[in-house]
Amino acid sequence: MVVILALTLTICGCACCYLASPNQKWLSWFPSRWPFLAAASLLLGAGLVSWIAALRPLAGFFVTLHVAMVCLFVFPYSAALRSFGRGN
Amino acid sequence: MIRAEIVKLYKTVHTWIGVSCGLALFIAFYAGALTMFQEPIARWASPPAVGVEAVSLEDAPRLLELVAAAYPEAREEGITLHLRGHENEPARVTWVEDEPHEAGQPHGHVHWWATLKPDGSLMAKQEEPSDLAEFINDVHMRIGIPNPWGSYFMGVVSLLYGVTLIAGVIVLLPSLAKDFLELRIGKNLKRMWLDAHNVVGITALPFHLVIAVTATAWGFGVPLWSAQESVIFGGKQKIAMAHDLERWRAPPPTGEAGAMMPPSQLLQRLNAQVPDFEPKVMVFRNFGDKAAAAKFAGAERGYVGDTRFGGVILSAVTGTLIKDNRASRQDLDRRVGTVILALHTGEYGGITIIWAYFFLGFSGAWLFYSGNLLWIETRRKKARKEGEVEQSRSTRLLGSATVGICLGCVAGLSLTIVAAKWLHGRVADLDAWHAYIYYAVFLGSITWAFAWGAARSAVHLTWLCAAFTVAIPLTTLLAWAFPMLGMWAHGSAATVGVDIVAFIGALCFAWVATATAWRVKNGPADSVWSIRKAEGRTAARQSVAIAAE
Repeated sequence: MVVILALTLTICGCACCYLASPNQKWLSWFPSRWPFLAAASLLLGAGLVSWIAALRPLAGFFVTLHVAMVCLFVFPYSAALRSFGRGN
Repeated sequence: MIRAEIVKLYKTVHTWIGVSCGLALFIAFYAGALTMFQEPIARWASPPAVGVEAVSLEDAPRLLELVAAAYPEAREEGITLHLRGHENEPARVTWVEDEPHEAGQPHGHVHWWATLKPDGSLMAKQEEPSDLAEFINDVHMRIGIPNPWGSYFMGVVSLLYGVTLIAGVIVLLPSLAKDFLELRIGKNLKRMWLDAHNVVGITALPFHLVIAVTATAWGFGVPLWSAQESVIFGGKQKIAMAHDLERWRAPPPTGEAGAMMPPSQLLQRLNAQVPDFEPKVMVFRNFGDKAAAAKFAGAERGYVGDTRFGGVILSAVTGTLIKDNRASRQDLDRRVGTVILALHTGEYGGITIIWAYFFLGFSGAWLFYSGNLLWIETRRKKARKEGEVEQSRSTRLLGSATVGICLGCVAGLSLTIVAAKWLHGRVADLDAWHAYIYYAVFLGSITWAFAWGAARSAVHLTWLCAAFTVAIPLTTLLAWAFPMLGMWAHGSAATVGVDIVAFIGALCFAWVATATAWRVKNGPADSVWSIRKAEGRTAARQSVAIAAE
């Protein structure tokens, strides 16, 4: 249960991080950057704490890092695939 | 601010090292991604046997006694009692014996399993387990080049991979903040491949740096060992190593008989003394002796490297803890080594990290593939500026090599997985056939790519990848529908997961093949990825105009 919570928080944190980027392609408009950055920090912090609670500090840190790495390259590709599908 | 000439220099380093090592790294990363599911693949490929459940843990003492009496060599080598009941564990008890050999000479091993017949008597059988997962790992570690040259080669490639990573970051630094997470899809193909390459390279940079360092250390392990021996240890490294290994060694036999504690009670003693340890197997050394030991291999969840070098040894007579080598009990120097190696292999964090490494492994393969595509696309632009329509020989050759080697590796690995079920019981040495099949497809694909050119062969070989990959779940489906074929369809989540992932992978390959077919027919004619005849300078100018739009 803690693992699912930790994974959800980390993925949501990375999603906010992506939305805060000026290069995001999920939204056709550019949202205000700072609320998303604040949300990303909070969610990723909570995710890290949850992973540490589920595992141990070192393992928790590395799991957070690796899940974040996967999310941060998957999100731009997901946006690109959507754009590709629309024929843009 | 970095000077332009420095960026240019690092760009040259990044490009040429990347192109020269990229194909070997593609194979290592693709096979490496598959090795994250080494155990499910081994389970998928293992034929059904008697199974662990055939002998309950309560009946295990009798089985162990019968094996120890009938096969005395097994007592010394170690009798393994399986606790989980996975498909690749053929029975409750297994052991390994040396093949006949001269003393001190290298030799092979034979594998045995044993169970109890309904009348309570012993049934033992010699049967070699599937080495499919080990073969994939071998491709991952040495891309198929025999040892020790394969290890040295990959050591050099990994070292250069580290250099090219650093060079790539330096090249990107001036535009890093501006282009971070940018992936532009459009008519400017060079920009698209550059973004596709950079997004993966930058976001997964910590992973790639760790992989580069650890793979270099692994590749040069033997020479580094020899250098340490003469420079640091002065010829005493073997003594230090033997001392270090003592912590994993069971006590020597006394020659006096001792009553063995039943495995179920040993497990209770283990849980009482080491509550956080999750055992997978227990290995009995010197069964029946007063100094007999039960060595538990397993994981201590929560630690990085939870399964690496871990283990606990209990007295098989009294159940008292003799040696404790769990991750939490390791010395600082060993702990650091364990953590670094586990960051390469992903031995921590359970299923989450397995999937994360799986995707990161594929992203690594894509990084090198897209790097080559970018190089080809960049060369195409240069050629057009000079007014040439015909592509240079180097781009055509690299295009063919990229397609043949990368897709040949993918198709070869998929077909050799399929062969585990189709050829079981039909060929004498299935492990050798795994290698024959992989290399036949791999080398055949390379030949095909050079014979047909990059554009045509890219379509053919991507469809081949899709066909061989979808053959994995289709084989299971056939085995389930037609048992007379002599194959098997395991129902566990792990093995069904292999089929589902392969099916999704096949769909992805089919989609890529369709997109590639569209590109070779409709894309710019003055490209190695087109089958249309370039119609001289007029066509080239039209393409430039389209690209400019």
